[in-house]
Amino acid sequence: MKRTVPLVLTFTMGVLMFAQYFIPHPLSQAFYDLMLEWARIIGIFALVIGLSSLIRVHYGKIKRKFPGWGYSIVTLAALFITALIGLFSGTEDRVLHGSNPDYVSNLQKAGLPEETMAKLTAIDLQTVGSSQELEEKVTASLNALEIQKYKSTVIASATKVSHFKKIFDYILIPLQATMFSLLAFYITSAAYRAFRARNWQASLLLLAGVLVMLGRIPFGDMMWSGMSELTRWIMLIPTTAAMRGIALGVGLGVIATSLKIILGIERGYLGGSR
Amino acid sequence: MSAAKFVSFMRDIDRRVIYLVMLLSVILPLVLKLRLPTTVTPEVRGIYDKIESLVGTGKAVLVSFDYDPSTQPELQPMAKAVVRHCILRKVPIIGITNFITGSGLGSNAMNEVALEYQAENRKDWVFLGFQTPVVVVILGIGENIKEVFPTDYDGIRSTDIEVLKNITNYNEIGLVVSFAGNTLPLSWVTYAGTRYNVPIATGVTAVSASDFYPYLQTKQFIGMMGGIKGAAEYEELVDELDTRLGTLDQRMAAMTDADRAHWENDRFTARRAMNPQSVAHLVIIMFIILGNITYFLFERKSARI
Repeated sequence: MKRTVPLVLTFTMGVLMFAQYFIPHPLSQAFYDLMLEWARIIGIFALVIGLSSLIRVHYGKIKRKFPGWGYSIVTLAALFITALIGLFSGTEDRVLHGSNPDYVSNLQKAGLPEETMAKLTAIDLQTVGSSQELEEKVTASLNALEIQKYKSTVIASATKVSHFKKIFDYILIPLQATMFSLLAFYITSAAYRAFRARNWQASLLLLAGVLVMLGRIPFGDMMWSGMSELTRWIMLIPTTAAMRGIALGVGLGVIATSLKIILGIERGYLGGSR
Repeated sequence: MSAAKFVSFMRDIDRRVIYLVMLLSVILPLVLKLRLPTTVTPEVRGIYDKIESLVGTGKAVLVSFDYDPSTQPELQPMAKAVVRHCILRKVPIIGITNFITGSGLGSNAMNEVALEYQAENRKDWVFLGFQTPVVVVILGIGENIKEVFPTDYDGIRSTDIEVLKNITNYNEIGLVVSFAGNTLPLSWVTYAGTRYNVPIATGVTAVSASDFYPYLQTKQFIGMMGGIKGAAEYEELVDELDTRLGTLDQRMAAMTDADRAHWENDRFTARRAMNPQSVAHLVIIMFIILGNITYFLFERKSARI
């Protein structure tokens, strides 16, 4: 029963969704809309499963002192600290009150004329809850020229960035960007040691690689005016031919796997060892 | 140094020396403020021309920020250039993301450009945020975007958002641009382009660009920006347009010195990044040539013995 029901469901839904694509009828459309709603709901549960799986795996590593278990502590700590800050401190930027010393000093630092400063400090920000309301108030208080000149400065001065956003801007972005940037160093070292013209196939790959690298930078065209066109030709004709072959192979593989799943031949998604 | 010593030195070169040369090739062009010319390719112009054709039609551009901070240096400048183009030409623009970490990046990109142009949130543009799963989101927009995104990123109900008033599904969207460091643009081709006939364009990392050329040739992508070079080309096109319309000088003249410096810097992000990248490419080519010289002079002979 545990295996039969999912198999029947998969077969029925697979055949129905396949047929639906070719039936231009309101009933077919209504069925399609309903399925999209179901998929959205099921998708949310996948997030819950993913989160619980992450916690279980890393908790297990810490408990058994697996090699590198310290990284699991960092992962879980990052997960919970970020979630707690988001839950308790909020994810939205906060608008500073008109009398807030930070707001006034931010405006002073921006070097605004006295007349504009007077208008801005007169705005009652006590009741402003969102950045949209703040924008509306600032727009209403200034004339057209002042809006063009100072609106962005004023909004930035009156907004206190949330801690949640700071985590994203000052921790996550630099960390991930750094990891990706390291590729440049590894690629150079690997290219120096491994990119050798050992035979004619390797020589062809090397030549194409060097030409494309040259064609993608302004120096290429400075050396020879046709370099970027040659690069385009390499990318559009030989590369595309090879990639299309791979894509067709992948496409046929996807069709075959889908049919095997719908027909119950491929049952890996049911879990278990058999 | 004799030839034999040179070959021996090159063969045993420490990888840290290679790293140092690469580091200098990235830093020096930035410090010396090297400025190299930008040539626009037809793939990038395809996206630009498509957005130009939407001016005054009321059709929107849907921008999907399908990337995370790791690929931000390449993708954020191109996303901002497209947002800048749409806001400049008053083409309604809707931002979404299929990556949870894309939420912050998409929101930042749209808010920053909107500030420069004083464009109004929810009137000229809107960022709807993150929704999952990908396929359901893409197909769902084909039926009703307001059902897929009941609220925008700030929690305002979609039905109350002015820019979405006349937009229900892909019929009112003139172009979808997916910025991604993965294969998500192919999902947009499969589920939005094929099923709903909406034009699709993409902005991808340089390393993954070759995966997408087959779809460019078949016009399933009407245009593509590859890596920081693609971003630099689009920046150049938008700057030319802004200057031609006279809006750039007008806007810059009305700004404070600090704001002007900030926005001038922001508008050149990709073009500035092209300079260290160009020198880095040359350095990699130089190392490949040196590596092969060593190989032919020493290693190949040893292999024969």
